[in-house]
Amino acid sequence: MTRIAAITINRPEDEVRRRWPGVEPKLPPLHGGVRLHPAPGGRGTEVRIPYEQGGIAQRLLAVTGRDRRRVLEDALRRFKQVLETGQVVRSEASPQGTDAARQRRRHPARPVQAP
Amino acid sequence: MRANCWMGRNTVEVREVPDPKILNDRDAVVRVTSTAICGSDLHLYDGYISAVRRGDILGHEFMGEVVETGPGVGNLSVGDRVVVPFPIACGACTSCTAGRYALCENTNPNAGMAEKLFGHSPAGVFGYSHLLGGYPGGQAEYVRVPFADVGPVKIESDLPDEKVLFLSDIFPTGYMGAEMCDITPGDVVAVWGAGPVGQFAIASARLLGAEKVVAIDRFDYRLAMAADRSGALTVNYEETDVQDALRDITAGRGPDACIDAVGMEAHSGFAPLHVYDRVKQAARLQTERGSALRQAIMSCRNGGTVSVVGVYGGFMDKFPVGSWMNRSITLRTGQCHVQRYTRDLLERVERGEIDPSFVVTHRLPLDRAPEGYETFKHKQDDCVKVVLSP
Repeated sequence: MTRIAAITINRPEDEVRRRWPGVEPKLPPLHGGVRLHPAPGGRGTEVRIPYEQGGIAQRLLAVTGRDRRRVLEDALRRFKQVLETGQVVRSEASPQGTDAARQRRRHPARPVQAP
Repeated sequence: MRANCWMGRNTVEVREVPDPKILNDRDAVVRVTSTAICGSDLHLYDGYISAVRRGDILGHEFMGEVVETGPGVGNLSVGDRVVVPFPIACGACTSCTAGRYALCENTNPNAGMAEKLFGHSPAGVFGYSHLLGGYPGGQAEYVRVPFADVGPVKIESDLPDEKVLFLSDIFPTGYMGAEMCDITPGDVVAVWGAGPVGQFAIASARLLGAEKVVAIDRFDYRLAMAADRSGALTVNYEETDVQDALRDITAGRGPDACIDAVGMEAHSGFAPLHVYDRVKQAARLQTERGSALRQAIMSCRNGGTVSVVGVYGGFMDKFPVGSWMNRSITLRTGQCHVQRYTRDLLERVERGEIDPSFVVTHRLPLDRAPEGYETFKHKQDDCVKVVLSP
């Protein structure tokens, strides 16, 4: 069954289109079915990525946050953060930024050790 | 550095942890000069928020001196004195530009987790579990502050810490609670909870022109503070029936607005209801104890407003939906959009309209944070607000 991963980005459509390649490696290319549309009421740009829901394999992957849906949603969130704020937003417990696959090995909410 | 860490239910310990570093270009690192324990910290302490982990640094009410800035911070310099709002906000998303900073769309790296519980994720918050980003909190010697060019407010006067610290959370929260009531002349506002947020809600309702403000609590020393500081009428719910008292005060109409400054760990004066809520909460059949909210809705006059700033986390049982719906009650709520209020409230403090330090009853060094939590939780020694100094 086809589902949609979607996000609204508070930037104009031409900027989203221009910056799409190269910012977020886990996003499919624009010509791979990604739909962009101006958001109503000056809210920016609507982004929709269709994907196949998949079966049991996807459900098992969902336990570790590596299913298609989570990978796409997290990638969209990171892309939005870069366009709206300049960078992927990091916390000390999630220093790599939004990534569901890293949730199980979460660092406590305290500064990371110096390398 | 030393920091106060959650180590289990009813357990916090001050431990040696690494110093914070700049992780994003718009970060700053702040050396904390004063920090406080919040009523919502108690939900973490009491074990009601399951997304907290052993070792998490707590605290979201803090201020201090900027000691380092990332390359993207243009408005702050090393040495600046700042108060830091508890929600972390990017300033650029649609929510932030609309002034809804506590709903920032970008600052929760664990947004997927929050979405499962809430439907959509609110903003990241300092020191408030992994559900809200896993950011270390401010009960520490140093804190990394993301988006330092958006949140922190510079203090350029020589007002002491205690007069400005509460701009980080409880003063704007109480103020927003009162503002959501849309107070018009003649209004009677009833406030459930005379803790620090309740005290500021009461004071703010006065500032915003309420005719009468009623403080509802069971601790006489807190009711006395509300009466002395803000001229509030008081109701001790263990001695008086609240709905009867409010009918008397409003000649049968009910309060025009009701503020819930209690939240999920409400205590009920009606013993069977309190037992019901506690048992269901312990059995994880509900996550909240909602007796203050229930009573606020039932007491409110027809067509009035119930303004909720007490913190809730999940799902409550027995919500009086019939009373709410059939009587045109407006229910307004939210985590405070602190950044929206800091400048205006700082000006009010500078002009002498209000001195927020009135809620401070206990001052401790950071190393005695565990003792501070116990004193605050059990309301020992007439405790209202504990301020810690690293």
